[in-house]
Amino acid sequence: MTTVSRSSAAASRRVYQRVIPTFLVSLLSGIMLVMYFFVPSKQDPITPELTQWGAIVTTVSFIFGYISVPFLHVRRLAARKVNTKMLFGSAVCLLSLVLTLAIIYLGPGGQSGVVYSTWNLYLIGFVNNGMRADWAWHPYTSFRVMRITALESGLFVTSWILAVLSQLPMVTYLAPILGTAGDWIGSIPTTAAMRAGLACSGVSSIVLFVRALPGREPGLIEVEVI
Amino acid sequence: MTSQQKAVSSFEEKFRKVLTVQRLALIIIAVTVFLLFRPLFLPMKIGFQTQDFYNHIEALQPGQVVVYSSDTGPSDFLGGRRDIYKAVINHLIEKNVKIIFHPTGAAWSGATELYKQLTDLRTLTYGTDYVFLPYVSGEEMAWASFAADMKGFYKTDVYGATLSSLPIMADINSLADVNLCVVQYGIFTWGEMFVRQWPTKYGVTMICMALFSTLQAWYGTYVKGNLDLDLGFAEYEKLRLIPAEHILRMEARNVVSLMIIGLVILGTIFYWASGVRREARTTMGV
Repeated sequence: MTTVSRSSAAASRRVYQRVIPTFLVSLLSGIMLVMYFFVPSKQDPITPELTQWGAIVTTVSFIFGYISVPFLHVRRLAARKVNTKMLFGSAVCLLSLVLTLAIIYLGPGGQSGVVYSTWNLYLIGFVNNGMRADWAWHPYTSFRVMRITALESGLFVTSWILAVLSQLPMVTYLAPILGTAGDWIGSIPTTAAMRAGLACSGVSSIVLFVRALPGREPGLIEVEVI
Repeated sequence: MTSQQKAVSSFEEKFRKVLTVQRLALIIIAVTVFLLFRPLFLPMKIGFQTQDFYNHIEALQPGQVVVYSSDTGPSDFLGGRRDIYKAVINHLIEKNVKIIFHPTGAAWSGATELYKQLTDLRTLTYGTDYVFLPYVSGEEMAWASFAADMKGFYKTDVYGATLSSLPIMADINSLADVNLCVVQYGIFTWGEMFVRQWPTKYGVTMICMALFSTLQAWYGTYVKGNLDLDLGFAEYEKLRLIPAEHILRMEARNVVSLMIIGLVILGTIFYWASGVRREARTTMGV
């Protein structure tokens, strides 16, 4: 009996977690792909409508994410199956959320008020800067990890050095050719890779669109949700 | 292993013990702090992206409309962006243009008063010379909707006033009514989203404050100028003759980055000279 219930729940979950969102996204992106090749007139009513629907779908997925994160932390705290450090992290995350919401909704001026501005400026600002302090590791990591040990790493490190040199004002002032070389690495090969990626993504979207409409595309949503 | 290789390997081990991560961090901090108080005034060349960015703002005529899009929150003013945002906004204000602030970050509304305090916006009239739009999620789709129908998509400004009642919005309906878009973003995939939805569709000129690699594919066609993060910020500050913090940062970058490259070369020499073929260690546990 329990097995049947779980199976039924899983099937139901699959419909709203996987089938409907994948179908909607595929339908919208498929129509937009078609419209890319057959440019409609400026008066067409479909484009603004589709755009609004796209905004709605994106917003709903954001809201789903906003709800999921605190929910997962609450569940972790309730279950207490992880170590103390992770529990502490979840507790801090939830407390910060509650405090921030309290400041926004109960503080003077709300989200535009001086209390929220100060909270965000100093607390979030210092947290950001604290994370940036981690960059002090980078030189040490470079010394220990980035060394030319083979052809691939040789190519990588050489490209990296040229790219870094092009970002150093003193170097490009004294030897402009190094700036040009770094710009070339940051532009031509990078652009080629990006365009190849976009082409792959475009072809994949068409395949996804065609397969998802009859419900043959499992997608990644279920995996991410679990 | 020959005796020479053993000597190199031994020297490398000693070097590793002497140059610990803590000591290296202290050296970098010391160099940076020293340069902050005693800048070397190293030479700097203005790159083409920065010059293009500057020229497009300089070419603006009084009364023209600029959309300034940014994901800035209040905390960014502590994170090293204060001087550059201030410089760019004041440059726009100098040109007597109308500015529509379009936020792409959720913490935006907390930053509006800081913008007023830090820049010359305090000398202008809100609603007539500039307007703060509220944040709306949705990323690319939201930006597309904004571009198509500003007053239809944003019913109100950040303070809750009806957008259509503000004088600045009287003749502005879509991005086709805008002369220049200044777009700052930190998420690398956003560049192509803006390109797709704004300059491609409306032919509007777009200049950016973002990593060059994220927009290079469209540079010159849809993106007409860029400040390539700290280097671009420093060049722009130099071009504007503003002694701001990014110029000092470039001093530290010159010294520290050359030191890093030196260490990488040293590591490679040790690797090949010592004859010891170890697996490269990861950042964990070093």
